[in-house]
Amino acid sequence: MARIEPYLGRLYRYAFSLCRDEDAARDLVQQCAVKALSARSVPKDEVAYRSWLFVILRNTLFDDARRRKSAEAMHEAVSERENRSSMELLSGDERLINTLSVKQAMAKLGENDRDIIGLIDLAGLSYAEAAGVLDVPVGTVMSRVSRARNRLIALLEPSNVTPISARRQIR
Amino acid sequence: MDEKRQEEQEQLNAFIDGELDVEARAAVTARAARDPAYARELATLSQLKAATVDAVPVPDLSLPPVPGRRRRGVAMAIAASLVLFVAAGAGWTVFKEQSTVAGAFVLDYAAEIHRAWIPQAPGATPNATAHPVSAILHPSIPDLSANGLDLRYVGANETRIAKDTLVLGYLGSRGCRLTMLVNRAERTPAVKIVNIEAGRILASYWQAGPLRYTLLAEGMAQARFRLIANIVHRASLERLPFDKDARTALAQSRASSPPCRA
Repeated sequence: MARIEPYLGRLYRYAFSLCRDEDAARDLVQQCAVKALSARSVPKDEVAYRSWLFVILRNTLFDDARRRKSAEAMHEAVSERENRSSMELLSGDERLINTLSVKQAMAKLGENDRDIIGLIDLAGLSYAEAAGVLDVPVGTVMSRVSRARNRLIALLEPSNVTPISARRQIR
Repeated sequence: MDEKRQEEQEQLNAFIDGELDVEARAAVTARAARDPAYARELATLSQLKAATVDAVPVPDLSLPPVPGRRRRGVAMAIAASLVLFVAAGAGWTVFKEQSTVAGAFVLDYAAEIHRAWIPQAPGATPNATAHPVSAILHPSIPDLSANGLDLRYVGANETRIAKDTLVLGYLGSRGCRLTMLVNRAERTPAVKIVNIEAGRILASYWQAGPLRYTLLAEGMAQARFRLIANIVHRASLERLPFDKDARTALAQSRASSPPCRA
């Protein structure tokens, strides 16, 4: 088995968090794999190797975006609720937290929020590993995770959940 | 949100991410047991994390075909060309075209390593003592802090040409990233520093005793890079630490140079 194979799933999940598109995420993972497999030198340590893969994927996406002069928004999603704690948001009405609603809400998050949630939840990196990939202190990762999840929860409030059209079928 | 509340939030998130130590975990658990609102928040964050993971199912992924790598014979031929070129007394040489064999070789493998290393978190001290090459670096691992570059990565990568290359990664606060590769190489007469420039990439390499040094940066001001390369080159040949004049020059260079171009 190639050394990268156990990480393909996690790489795909992280790629999806950034691209928000299944085909684009798949392409990104393929590009990352080609680069990793054809690299002349790779980190020996397994933790370093894992982080190296995510850096390759991330850099590939951003290089592609720069080349295409992507117009995708690079800034945080603005939410009038962003300074409220999740406890305030969660009190009272029930939130619709399931895979579909979370997927919808993730698509509305800003790129930086999707990036950190992608690294921690979808790629399963530790805070220290994510800090290395992003080149920020661990404390910064902690605050970004907390704020990103707050914003995600705010998007899950009933008024923000997009109802599925009656004509669409849920598979 | 006040600071205390923000810290509490961060702790809850760190709890569900498995990032708290035993004591902190126990404190969160104890509070959740006596505070229903806190427990609800913990449960919601946990539910959110699980739903996030499940929201992205993984399709069938297969590895792509890998482009053919250069054969070992070709790489060795390039290395031989490099040695012959340098031994011919080329001295100070600037390669303006990436197609030059020796320059392309250095840029190819060194640039790949340069882009791949991941810095340790700020404040952490990379450990270099385990690497055999670092033990014979004279006088020690170069300290470029006077130039605003902190050592943030120490590792060993196997390259096709030089096994067990010591990789030293330096990072500045304004986007500058510099890589130093050191490996044992065939002992040749001490050669003058060879400088390469290809687009945004600046590289320098030389032999000092049993060690081959390669320095590389991208987007850095040329004058700043050349100064760093010259100072490290001299120190490696003389086997002495940077003197006061060198440190002053490094500091002045940093102060007068623009941030590295992304």
